[in-house]
Parts: sequence; structure tokens; C-alpha cells
Amino acid sequence: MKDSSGWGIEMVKDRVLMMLVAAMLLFLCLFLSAPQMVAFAEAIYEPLPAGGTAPYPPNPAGYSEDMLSYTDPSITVTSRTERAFDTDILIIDVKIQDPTQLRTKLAGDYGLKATQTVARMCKSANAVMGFNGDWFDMYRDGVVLRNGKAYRSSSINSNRDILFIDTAGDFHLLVSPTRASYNALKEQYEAMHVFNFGPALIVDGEPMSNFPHHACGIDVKRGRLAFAQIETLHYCIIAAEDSSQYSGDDDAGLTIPEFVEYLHSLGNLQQAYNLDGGNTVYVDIGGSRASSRYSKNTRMISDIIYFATLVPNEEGESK
Amino acid sequence: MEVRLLLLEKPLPLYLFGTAVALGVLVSLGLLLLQKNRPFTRRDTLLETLCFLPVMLLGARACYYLVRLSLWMETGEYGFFFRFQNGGFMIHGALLAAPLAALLFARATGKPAMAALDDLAPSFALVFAAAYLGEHLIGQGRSMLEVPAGLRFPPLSAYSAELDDWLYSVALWECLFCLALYPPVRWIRFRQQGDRTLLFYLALCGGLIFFSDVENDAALSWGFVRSPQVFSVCMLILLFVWRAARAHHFCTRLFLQGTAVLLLTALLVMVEFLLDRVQAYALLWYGVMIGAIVLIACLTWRAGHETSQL
Repeated sequence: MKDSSGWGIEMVKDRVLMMLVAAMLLFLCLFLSAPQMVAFAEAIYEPLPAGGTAPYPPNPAGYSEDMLSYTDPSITVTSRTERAFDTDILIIDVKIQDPTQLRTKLAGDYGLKATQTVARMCKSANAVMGFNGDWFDMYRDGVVLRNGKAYRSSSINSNRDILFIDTAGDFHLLVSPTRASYNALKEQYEAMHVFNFGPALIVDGEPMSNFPHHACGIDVKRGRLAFAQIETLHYCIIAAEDSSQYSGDDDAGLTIPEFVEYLHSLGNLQQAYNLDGGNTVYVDIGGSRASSRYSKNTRMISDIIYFATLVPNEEGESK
Repeated sequence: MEVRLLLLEKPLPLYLFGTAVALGVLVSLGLLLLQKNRPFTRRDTLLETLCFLPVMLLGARACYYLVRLSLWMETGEYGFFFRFQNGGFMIHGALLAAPLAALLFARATGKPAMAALDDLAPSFALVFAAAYLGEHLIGQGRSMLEVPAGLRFPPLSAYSAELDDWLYSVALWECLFCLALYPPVRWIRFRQQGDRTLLFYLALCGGLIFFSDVENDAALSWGFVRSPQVFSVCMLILLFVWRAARAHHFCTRLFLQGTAVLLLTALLVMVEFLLDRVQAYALLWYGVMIGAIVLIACLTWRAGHETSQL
């Protein structure tokens, strides 16, 4: 059947179908993005999801030329190097806007003893800067709780002090922890991260002494890394140069008492916690090694602590 | 002169991924219309497109949404499903939705659903290839496994400027795999209705088990379990059950074939465990995995044919 314009009803039906198909193809072009390409793009300056990888990579333009500092509206990282006890010491100051920016990443699924380099974990975690964690897989006991998820809490080792970070990003240090003291802290604060290496170096502004026997070699000169809090959402990472076998400097390295003395001399640390027993010190800023730059040691470890940005930059919606 | 579409202040975004899919649909539609000796008219073809495309798209979206349900519950992003521009699709959802679309098409036109599936199976291969190509072009679908220096060349691997590292370009492999499926699915002459679709589903699901192992997309994993592999294995078993259901009489051979499929599935799980949990990266284990996948596919294929002859 044809109407006066010569168009049959069947032809009209075909045209309508073709237009519908064309409209559908246009919809694909205009609305179909790649998987997760722009997920959470609208969540500007919102807190990051508690678990998983940080969604936004840092803005490359935010790094300084020497790759020792970074700035964007949600995070500021600045670094300086000092020399004490014949050792170069890197001091990194980090200010963030939201506690979810302080994050941790495991090298693999918990329980597998998976290890990875700090640099690689930082890359895959979208870290602005990151450093070695407590290498929890080295021990069978102790508490492991990361990004709010408890992996291990069956046994408490009283020889290894606990760093407990609550959901507000504040540090609580448990010296010679017991099950009772840990449970009491857990009841008082909601845990976001719990580390189990130590020892605690500065507690409530006071330097510690009389350390128990510890794998970190209390009286041995070694590379050291301390994770410290200055105030809420304001942190400091202090990395002492690696020991002589890596740096070529025979006198490099600090004993724990020397390290405590140095940290206390900084004057503004409220809590400080040791995270390395020697050769694990590794600080990554924007994919560049910031600590022990002359060291060839890139030990693979089981976890990192890192800071992430809240700001989605142009490439920032991947992962 | 600046042209503003629909008088909008800002230009409309044109998503590469969506454009690639749209081009894939357009090319496959053109090939279908040029194809001779089809049991469908041009209008049927347009109706097929209108039935299959949205249903499979929604299926892929729903599958992805369900796999990551815990994330939406955690973040309160329940409306994610409707924000297509945010991405997130799983091919298995599209594969599962295709029979539903075929039923819809059959209801609308009175034509057999299985014939529509057979008719469109080669097009599925092309559209999926286009989707994977789009995924690759925007830098997604890459494996985080470390690529040895000797394997750093395309299409095996691709350089990621973002990570400053070479990564296996799994999406490109999947694209090439789907393209390779087109000729056999399109030109082999099959005796039974449904065989064309079965060949495509068996090959694709089998391939996806392997590709998912390499890609290891954490976003689509439930803990250490990779959901794409679980879906693929379940679909292979479903296909076997579907073929076995054609048997009018239970026979010992069918029972043995079913047992073999289940045992091979267990072997796949074991190999996956070795590769993932123990991190035993060895060509031998990948060979065993591919062998098991091929055997499952062959058993499923033969099960249908033998039982249908009873």
C-alpha cells in the first residue's frame, strides 16, 4: 500500500526501524564509556572508598622537578635532607585533607606471602608517595588490620609494639601490648590500620627507652624508617640512610636510641613508630626513589603505606 | 564557525569505547544485510538489532553491577547501574542475555529463536571484537603481570605511559581472538540448528577462562576468585547440560562425558590455584589449562551430537 507521497506503509516501518537502530548506535557513541573509565568522577573531594586501590592517580604536574615534593588541593608533600650521626636522613612532611588518604596496600592476597617492590605497589595503588609497611608476612603472630579489614588478630606479641591508626587518622601506640590493652583500644577507637613491628619511638611527645629484644637490631647501626604523627592529618616520615653495605658509607645508619634522640630533636613529633629493621627502607615519591638514592637494594616486601589524592585529574579516573 | 549540537553550551563527549562498539554493530549489520541465503528479511535484521543490542547491553551491565554489588553497598553508589558513561560491562552478561533477546525476537516476529541466535553468532564475534578493541585503545584491559623484556612488543604487550611499564595487552588478544572466531562461525556449514551458536559460545567461554587468568582484573574478583572464570566455567557446564538435555534416553556414555566435564572443571580449578595462589607461572600449566578447556568444549560438542542421534 502506498500513500500519496509514494511511501508505502511497509517502507515507513523500515525507515522507522532504521532510525531506531541509528539512534541506538548514537546512544552507544555518546553514553558508552569503557569499563570503569570514569567511575566516581563526580565524587570530587569526597573521601576515598575505604578499601581497594585509591581511585585517582596523582597529577604529574603536582610534583617538583627533583621529585621530592608534591602539591594538589588535597595533599601536600615536602621533603628535606639533614645529616646526623654521620648519616643522611630524609624527612618528609605530609598534610592531607581526609583520613581516607592515608592508605595501605598488600602485595597480594593475604596469606600467600606475596611480595612486591615498594615502587611497583605504589604505582598500582595510585600513590602520591608511599613507603614500606611492617612486612607482616615475616611473622605468624601479631595483629594485621588494613584499610579497616582485620586479617589477623589471633595472637598479640608483647615484644612488638603496636601502631593503631583510627578512622580519624590519629595514631595510638601500644607499648608491650597485651590482649587486654589492644581490646581496650579497639573499644575506644575504630581501627583503620594496625601495624605490628615497632618499637614505638616517641609516645605522646616523649622519647622511649628500654627497648625489648627486637628483630630490628636495637643497638646496631642500620637504615631506619619512622612513621610519625605531628597532629591530626599531618604526618612525618623519617628515613635514615641505609647501612654501609649499600651506601658505601661505613658509618651510615642509626641505632634505635640514636634514632629516638634524633626524632625527639625535631621537636614536633607526637607519636613515632619504627617500621624497619635495616634493609627495607624505601620511600617512593611519584615513582622515584626518594630514600637511599644510591642504594641498589630494592627488596620485595608484603605491604606499603601510602598517601593518595582526593582530586580526580584528567587521567585520574582509571582503575 | 562553531556548531553546537542541540544548542548545548558544551560539546558532547564522544566515547571511544562506545564508538568502537557502534562501529562494530554497523559493520556486522552491513555484513548481515549483504549476506545471501539468510532466513531473515531486512526488516527482521533491523528488528534483531533492536532486540539484541539493548538486551545484551543491559545484560552485560547487570552482570558487572551484580559482580561488584558489595562495592555499591559499601559506597552507596546504587545508581551506578544507570550511569553508562561510567563504564562497567561484563561480556558474560551479554552472552547470558542473548537467548532472552532471541526469545523476545521470536515473540515479536514469530521466527525461531535458535535460528536468530545462529544468524547473529558471527555478528557477536565482530561486535565483541570491536568492544575489546575500544577497551584496548583507551588503555584498559591490560594485565598487571610483569612482562619479560623479550616479550615487550605489540600485540603481545603494550607500553603504559601511566605506569611507565610494559603490560600484556589482554584486551587486544581478546579482540584478535573474537576476530579469529568470525570465519569458522560464519562459514562452516552446520548440520543442526544451534550448532553455530554453540561453537561460538564454547570457543568464547573457553578463551575467556584463559584470558581472565592473564588479565587478573582485581575489580572483577571476589577475593581470590575471578568472577569471569567462574562465569565462563558455569556457562560451559550449562551448555553441556543443555546439549545433554536433548537426549531422550539416559545413556552411560552421556554420564561418563558429564563426569569427565566435571573432572576437567576440577582440574581447571586446580591449575588456576597453582597459577594464582602458588604463583607457579609456567608454560606447562597454561598448556594444561588450555588442554582442559579444549577437552571440555569437545565433550560438550560431542555430547550434543551423539545424544541427538539416539
